[in-house]
Amino acid sequence: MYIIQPHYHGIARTAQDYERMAYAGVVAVAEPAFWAGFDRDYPETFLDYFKQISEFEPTRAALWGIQHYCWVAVNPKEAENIPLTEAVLKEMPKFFQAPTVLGVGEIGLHKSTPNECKTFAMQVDLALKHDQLILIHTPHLEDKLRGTVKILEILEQFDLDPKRVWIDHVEEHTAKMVLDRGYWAGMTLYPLTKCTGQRAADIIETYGTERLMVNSSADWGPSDPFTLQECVLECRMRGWGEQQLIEVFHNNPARFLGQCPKFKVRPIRVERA
Amino acid sequence: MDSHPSLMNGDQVLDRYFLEVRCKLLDIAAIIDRYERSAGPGAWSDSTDRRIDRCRAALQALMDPSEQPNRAERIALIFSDPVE
Repeated sequence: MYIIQPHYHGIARTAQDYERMAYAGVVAVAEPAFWAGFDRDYPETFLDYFKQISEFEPTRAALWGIQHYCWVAVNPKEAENIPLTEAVLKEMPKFFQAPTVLGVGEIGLHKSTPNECKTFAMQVDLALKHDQLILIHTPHLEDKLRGTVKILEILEQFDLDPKRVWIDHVEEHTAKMVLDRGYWAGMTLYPLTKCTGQRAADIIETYGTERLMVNSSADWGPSDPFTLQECVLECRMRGWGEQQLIEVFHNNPARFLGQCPKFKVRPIRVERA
Repeated sequence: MDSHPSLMNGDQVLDRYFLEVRCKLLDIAAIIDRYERSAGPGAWSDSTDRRIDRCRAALQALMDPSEQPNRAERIALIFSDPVE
């Protein structure tokens, strides 16, 4: 089995994660810019973070043959500070030139405040001006529906190609509205409180495999990158064919991320000898 | 690409998930009992706490017949804040 882990916060994880992911079939990971667990005070702190995920983290992953890519952004959880965001955004285009940066993300909404909405729109605009892919975080738990609807409303204000936008953390009540508008949708698996591998498999069986991706986030909180492999096993035990597994867990991320020419992993087809 | 992977038949679904359903229902029952041991008999039914109200609505949704198998979606909506 070949797997692309499209949403993984490597700097919060140990080297053993990479080693075991490599054992378990992961060939590439993509690391969106994330909240540090506290609100950063200085633009330079973001820039050093972008340097870490675009320069150093690929070297860690490469020790186990895993390709590491990343996204840069001001995460919605600290998007309330407009002057700080503006200062970071001014410097972000420099990172678009880096060989492993795929686009702007994860942006989006957390509490859907006016400042968050403004920051989100600013980052969408920046991405479009620089022809970058876009990765969008939707809120978790009771805020998810309202935040997702708001995100879709804001995106409507832009002249963009929905196939270059990935809206993440969809669940049963938000997947259809995202897919119906032509965006890519991601399901993020957690061991507690959020979507599970079984439910992700149900959502795929309901809506089909097109433009759907699965990831396990894996950050500094309670999380587990191998929830992704649990989902693969769940789908396999339900009788999915090998190619269907490859389509969802390898080829779909390769198709979306491959819209950025820097992403080198291509879709594959399984053939029996 | 196959857009809809094949589903298991009904018996296969039950074989695979029955014990898990049983376990999760027992977990929920035990949590409600735990709450009532602390808050008093009948507290779960009588509570006006918004969280419990949502839980009761979700449990009701589990039992409601539906033309579509969309209980998970309906329960996710019950636990969602209203959209302006």
